[in-house]
Amino acid sequence: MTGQTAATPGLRAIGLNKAFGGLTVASNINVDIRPGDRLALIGPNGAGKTTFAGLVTGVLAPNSGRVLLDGVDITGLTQPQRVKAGIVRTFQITTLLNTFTPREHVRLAIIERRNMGWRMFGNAAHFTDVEQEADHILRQLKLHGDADLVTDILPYGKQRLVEIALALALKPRILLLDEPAAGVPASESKIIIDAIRSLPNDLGILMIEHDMDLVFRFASRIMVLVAGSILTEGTPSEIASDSRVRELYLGNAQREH
Amino acid sequence: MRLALSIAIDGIAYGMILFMISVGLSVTMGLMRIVNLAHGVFSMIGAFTVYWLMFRWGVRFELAVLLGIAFTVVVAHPLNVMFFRRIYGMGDLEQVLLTIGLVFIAIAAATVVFGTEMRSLQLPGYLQGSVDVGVRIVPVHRIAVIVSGLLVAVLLWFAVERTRFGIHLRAAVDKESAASALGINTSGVYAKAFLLGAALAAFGGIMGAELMPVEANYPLRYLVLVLLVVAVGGMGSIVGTFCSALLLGIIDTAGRYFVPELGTILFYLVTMLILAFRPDGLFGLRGKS
Amino acid sequence: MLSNTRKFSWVVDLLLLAAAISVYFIFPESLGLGTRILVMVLFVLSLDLALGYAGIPTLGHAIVFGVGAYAAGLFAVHVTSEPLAGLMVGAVAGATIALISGLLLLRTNHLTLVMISVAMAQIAFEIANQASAVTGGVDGLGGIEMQPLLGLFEFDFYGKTAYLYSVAVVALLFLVMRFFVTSPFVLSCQGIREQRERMEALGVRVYWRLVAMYTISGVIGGIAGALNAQTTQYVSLEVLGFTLSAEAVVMLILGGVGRLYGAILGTVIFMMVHHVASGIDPANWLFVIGAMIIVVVFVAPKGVLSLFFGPGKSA
Repeated sequence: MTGQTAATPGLRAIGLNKAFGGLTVASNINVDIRPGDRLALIGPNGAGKTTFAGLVTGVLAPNSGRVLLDGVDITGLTQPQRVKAGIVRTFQITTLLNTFTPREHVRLAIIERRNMGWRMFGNAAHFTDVEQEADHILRQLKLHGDADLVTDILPYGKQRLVEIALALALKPRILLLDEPAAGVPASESKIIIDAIRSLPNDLGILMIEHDMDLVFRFASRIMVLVAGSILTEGTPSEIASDSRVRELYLGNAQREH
Repeated sequence: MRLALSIAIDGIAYGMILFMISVGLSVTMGLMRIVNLAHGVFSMIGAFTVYWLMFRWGVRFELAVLLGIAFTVVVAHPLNVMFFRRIYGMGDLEQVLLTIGLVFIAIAAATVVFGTEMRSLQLPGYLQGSVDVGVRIVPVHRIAVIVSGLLVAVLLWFAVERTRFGIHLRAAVDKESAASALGINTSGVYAKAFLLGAALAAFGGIMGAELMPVEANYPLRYLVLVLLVVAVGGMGSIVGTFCSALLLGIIDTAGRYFVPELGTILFYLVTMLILAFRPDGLFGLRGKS
Repeated sequence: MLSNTRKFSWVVDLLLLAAAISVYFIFPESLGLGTRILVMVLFVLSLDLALGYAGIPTLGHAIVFGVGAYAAGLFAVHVTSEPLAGLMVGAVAGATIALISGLLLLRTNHLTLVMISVAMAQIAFEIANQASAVTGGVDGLGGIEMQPLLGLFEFDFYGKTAYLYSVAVVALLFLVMRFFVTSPFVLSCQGIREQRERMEALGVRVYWRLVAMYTISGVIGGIAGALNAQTTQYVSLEVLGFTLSAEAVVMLILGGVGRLYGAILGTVIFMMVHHVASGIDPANWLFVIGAMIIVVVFVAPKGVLSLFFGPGKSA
């Protein structure tokens, strides 16, 4: 809007607003995710984090505001179109293809990324470069041992890894991790953290999380969302020492007792 | 215009019958989230019982109606417990199949007992004949149907809005987990709603026997019709079923008057259009989509 | 491990073909039934593509069968009764109706989709009923006399040519489908069946994939309808009926949804039980099938095949 001529790489959300009926769920959201960013979004339940994720990924259309990718306005693009442009998300509740194995998941994701999804002949499992790439990703996430088991029977932590594997297979530029550790028992959370650590450095990542431990280990920048608006944004130490944020979390904790 | 009045009366009467038959299905589909293709069986049982009591045993019409409804409820209860509760968690397609299986068995049983012919119910004297309402001569039966339908609608409205059962019902339709957490005995609510729906279906089948004659193939013949009424009205919504039943009843009747060659095509086209724009139905509370 | 399974299934394919051909010699009086079974197998295979692989819950699939049947029948009566040309007409007709209806149908989901699929088939039924000058209405379309197949094989009274013709058509199309269902396209449809949202998050425009798959199933279904018209030399209104759609779904689920062999197995079992049971007592046929459906869904919800081979993604 101001005279920015050089296209800034990365995702920018400018003044996003969203309301359902009379209920405002997002108000004047501004976000900047550059390549290599490690940004975390925190906030109490009901703050609108899921709405935010929806607005960024194209699942929800904003009432006003814009979303830019590398300076190009993508506000009108649907979710599949944004995925093709490089904006990928993982799901908070594991949304996997139950009868597929991890290998089949990754294979499918690679096939789609390579725009081979319309091919009606040729065995999907027999494309050598697809299989090699799939294998590589599975090894990277240490899933190669379970790669040919039906995802349904895998422990929950490993299922979350498959979500991340899918994201990797799509070679995103901007990745939105929606509560990657949600529901994962403490005994398995290390594998999630390791997986996130191993993500490419030039990838711009926005992580929505409740687990403060994970947030402070992961993030170089933290954004606090409350009741649909951004309360504040800063480095982990700034946020940790911000009295309003402390109030938000401690205050809530006190009320629960 | 006399034609308009004819269409209105016939259409509204037809709509009332559709409403009574379908409302139970709408509630249980919205509540239990079960695709129940066997709902028409209750209408059939009600009508056949009345027929049998009157024809075979010479029972009076009014008593036969009460007994017919009672018998349907008696049959519906074990069906609910033994069958419908079991299929509760299954996928859409499995439920479709299972209830189709039930329909087939019911039709086979009815064929064995009553054969394949259509049976008509002998109405008592006061329901026969016509009455002059000034503008037109209207069959008494039509008036009776319209009045019954309105009575049912009002009673249902009262039950749902004013009684505890109704409040529990609405809560359970809205959000079952929350209702259960509030201590509402949801399975008890379901059972009562199911039985109420079956009773109403029986009543509708009986009152509608003139327009929709009872026969062994009844549940299949009117299956699509009932399902569409529910879908267009919105599953789980009594108001929705009422409106869609009247709307579709009038449209179908008007279609038959004005463009008989197009027959039921118009009816299906209209329902398709409505569903295309409002997949959850006109008043959809909780759709399966 | 994978290659062993594949070799194994080629053996099964050959055995099936051998069985079909041997029926010709062993049961020469039952070729009419055999042909009907083959036609249904093809129809249920087409349903399997839409319902089993892509998860489109249609209870109105008779529409592609019926449109294919009427198209081929009318083509034979008014244009030429060359059989293979008739199959082509059936294929195109089935594809066209599937495409047109699919564009609307696939905007919806779940129960609404089921409802609209039923409504559409009913509309087609009513149109065929009303247009009795063209279609013969309730009396059906008769007077179909097929030219000799390939100019050599006459359609004889005993149904011998019709039977082998059907075997050839079904075997060929089955072969094509065996290759087709391993393709990336079908893999993506299976993904859509499992989790639509997930596939959108992979960058897939779900609607168009489903329209494509539905159209392809319309091709096969249309050919099945055409085959029906040609081998029975008659088209009845029931080719568009709800009963046909419902029975096809039952057959598919009986055998195993999402597996080609499941479609074959379910159809054969259903039709044989129907044949035997209605021979004994037609009224009790409904008891039998009703009970059978309920037992199967409770005991083996993924179909008979799953009892032996486990719930699969595909076969």
